[in-house]
Amino acid sequence: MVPSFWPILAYAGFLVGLGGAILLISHLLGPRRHQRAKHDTYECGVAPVGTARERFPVRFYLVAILFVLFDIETVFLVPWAVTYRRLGVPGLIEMFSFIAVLGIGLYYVWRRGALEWD
Amino acid sequence: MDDLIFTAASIVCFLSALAVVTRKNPIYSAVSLILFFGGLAVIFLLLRAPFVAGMQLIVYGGAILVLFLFVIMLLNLREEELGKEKGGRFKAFAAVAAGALALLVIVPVMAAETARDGFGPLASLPDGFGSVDHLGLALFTQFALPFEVTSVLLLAAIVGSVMLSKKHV
Repeated sequence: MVPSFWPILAYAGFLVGLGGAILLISHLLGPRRHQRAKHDTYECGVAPVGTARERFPVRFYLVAILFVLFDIETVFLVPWAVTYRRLGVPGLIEMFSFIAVLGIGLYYVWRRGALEWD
Repeated sequence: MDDLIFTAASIVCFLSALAVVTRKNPIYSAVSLILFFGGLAVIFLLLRAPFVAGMQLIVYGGAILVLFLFVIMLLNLREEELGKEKGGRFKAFAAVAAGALALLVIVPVMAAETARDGFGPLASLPDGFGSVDHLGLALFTQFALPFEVTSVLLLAAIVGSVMLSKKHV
């Protein structure tokens, strides 16, 4: 393994250890008082109405998938941003045509009203 | 050391992938998939591809998994619907398709390994291999055409998702 990855591994190990320790300690030391109110959705606050298994409106899905698609565009921007000085004008043209095609997509999404909530 | 980490990551990947296909509740499957993506990111790190590993975690483990969970909640299957078993024919088809996919990966890898006389150590890699730097230079010179085609693929996905979820307008 490349030595520079050791900090990441140590960090991941620390996080897992910390999370486990917090769960374990609160499990061992936490008081347990059993009451009816403990079984409510909110122990204090508004009484919930209906079931938690509500159908989500499809709008959430649309927002999520559009986010993922433009997220991937950003992923491609990162390696370009790191190397664009060495790539020069060809790299600039490449990236701009890439963004232009996705710009058509953004225009379409906008015109279709997919960015509106209703 | 590499072997040890690879073995651990592979075991995590294998077990979590097994959990994805065996859990009856699709939410548990999706959560197991997060663990699988984590193991896969470790394997990408071992392959000296830290950028791909990071993207694996951010894009797949973060964004795409959220999308999967959305779809599961959109379908909103109830307990009794989840219990229904699919027919044997469906399972047989799935098994054949999965087996064919596995062969597609295993056969070229084995062929490459025998051509190289077994599982020797990897050839020494050039300095900075797999860095964002090298990746960017390769992507925008050698692989410029696939990169541009990706934008068309993304455009098709954008239009498709809007068509599917927005009936009116």
